[in-house]
Amino acid sequence: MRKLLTAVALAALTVSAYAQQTIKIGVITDRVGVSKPYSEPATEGVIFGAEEINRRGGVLGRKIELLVEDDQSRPDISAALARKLIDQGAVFILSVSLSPATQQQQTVTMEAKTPQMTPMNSADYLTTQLDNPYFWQTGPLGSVQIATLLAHAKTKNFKRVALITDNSDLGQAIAKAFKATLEKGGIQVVAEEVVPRGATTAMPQMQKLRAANPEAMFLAGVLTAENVLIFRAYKELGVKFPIHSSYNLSVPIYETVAKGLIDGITFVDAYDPEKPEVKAFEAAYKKATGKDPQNLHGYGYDGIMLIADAIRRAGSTDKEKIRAAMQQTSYAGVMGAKGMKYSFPEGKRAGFDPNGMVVRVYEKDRQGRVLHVGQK
Amino acid sequence: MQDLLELAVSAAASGCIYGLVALAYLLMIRPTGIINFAVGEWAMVASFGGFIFLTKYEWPYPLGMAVVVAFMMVVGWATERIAVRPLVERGAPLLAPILALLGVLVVTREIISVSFPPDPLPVPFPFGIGRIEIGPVGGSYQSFFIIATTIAVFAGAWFFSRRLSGEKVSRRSR
Repeated sequence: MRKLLTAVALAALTVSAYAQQTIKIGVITDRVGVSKPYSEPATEGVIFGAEEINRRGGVLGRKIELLVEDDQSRPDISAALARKLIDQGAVFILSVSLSPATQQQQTVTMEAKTPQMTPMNSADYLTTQLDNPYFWQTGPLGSVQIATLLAHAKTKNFKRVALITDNSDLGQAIAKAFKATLEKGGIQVVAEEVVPRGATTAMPQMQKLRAANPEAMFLAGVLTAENVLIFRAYKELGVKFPIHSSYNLSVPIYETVAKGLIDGITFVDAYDPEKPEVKAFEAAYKKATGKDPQNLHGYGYDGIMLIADAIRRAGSTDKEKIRAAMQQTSYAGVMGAKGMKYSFPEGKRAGFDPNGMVVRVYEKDRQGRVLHVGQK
Repeated sequence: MQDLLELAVSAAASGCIYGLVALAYLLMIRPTGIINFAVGEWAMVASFGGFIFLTKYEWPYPLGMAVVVAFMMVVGWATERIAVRPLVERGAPLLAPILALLGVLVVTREIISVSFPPDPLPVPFPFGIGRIEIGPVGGSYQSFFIIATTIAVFAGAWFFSRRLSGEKVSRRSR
């Protein structure tokens, strides 16, 4: 956090010196809201990426300058911040708070014809609801996460499973998608439970699931505190069925807040620690900051790299040229399975390869090995 | 039936926490006549102390708890010295120390809320995570630990207050 502020302060200080030369990139993040556990490391990844680009001489001979704003994942204030960033001269907006907030920013970027991308938001609707040619998402889509998790589950031949989630919008949406995909695959959902936000226990819900005696439990919840309650109730009730979790469990915060509760849980991720790009990224990040990066840092890093790549190919900071170049992207980043490249074929604006996700497992309290790749 | 008994154990454990805080209120209001609104906040401070010693520095449970208890005694003593005693000694009306303690509540709450992140902060359990089943009654180690501790504390408080009131009676009868 302090580092983030320092970087912002440094960026502010250098404004006067570089006013004419810098390329301004707006970053909309979440420092206090529900998306903080995702947004904070992603933003650190963005800052690290920008510093790396600048160390190597910048883009088109100009340094990148980040303008960072905090929308607390609130759609009601995020659009105004997008407007502010565009007014300050941002040629690209990088959104790393929550999907609904990113969606709201699009109303501004579409009208202002300013390129915008999110490297991590997963809601499928971001590129389908609005026909905004200035917007791209390169995070793995919700539907891809579910398909990948279920492709792995299919290898286990489950017939009867349980589903648990929370009452957040995203948690509900993921649960709905889980259920539809499970049933389409001929797997029966024998019990469904919801742990409301702010709950103090998940015991009753877990008892009901236990009574239904499923072969496995799918976890669609995205609220950290409530998920921890679910894992606690699971242990306290001594139930044994395996847990397959949404992408939310790839947030490394669980390694500390759910200590002792997560061994053996499988989860979808877009990060393969064995991938060469990941190893290079981890080494460079460690060297620059002294800290080990997490998968979430990779999203921010890929985001700023994709933007720099587009501006470089556009050969100018003209927003229309950047838009055209972005659409032609073909770039291998940190995120995704080995060999995956981001691209936007056939005019699509969701750039994560549908076979680019992996299923990993928690080994003790650490995010461990890859068990499964892609949707097959 | 098994579900109901399990819920009873887990609900009793949660209830015991509130019971302990309520006992703390009672233990202060009975002898002094002053209600300390900051008691709930003190319970919170103790929890964050537990986080610091048991989670952050990973001290062994008995040592970490002993330090937290000692620290809370200092907090209580300091509050009495700073916020309550000067008012009582100078003959302020009864409401004054109560309002001062309300101030302590606000100060404590704000200090904690600016010092810690909004994320859930886990504290390890003394006996780890596991489950005991006694016939149809099942629950986690932690639930039974909380219930047993609460019973012990209440019994201790009861004996203590009986001995005190017994002394009073004998003094009066003299």
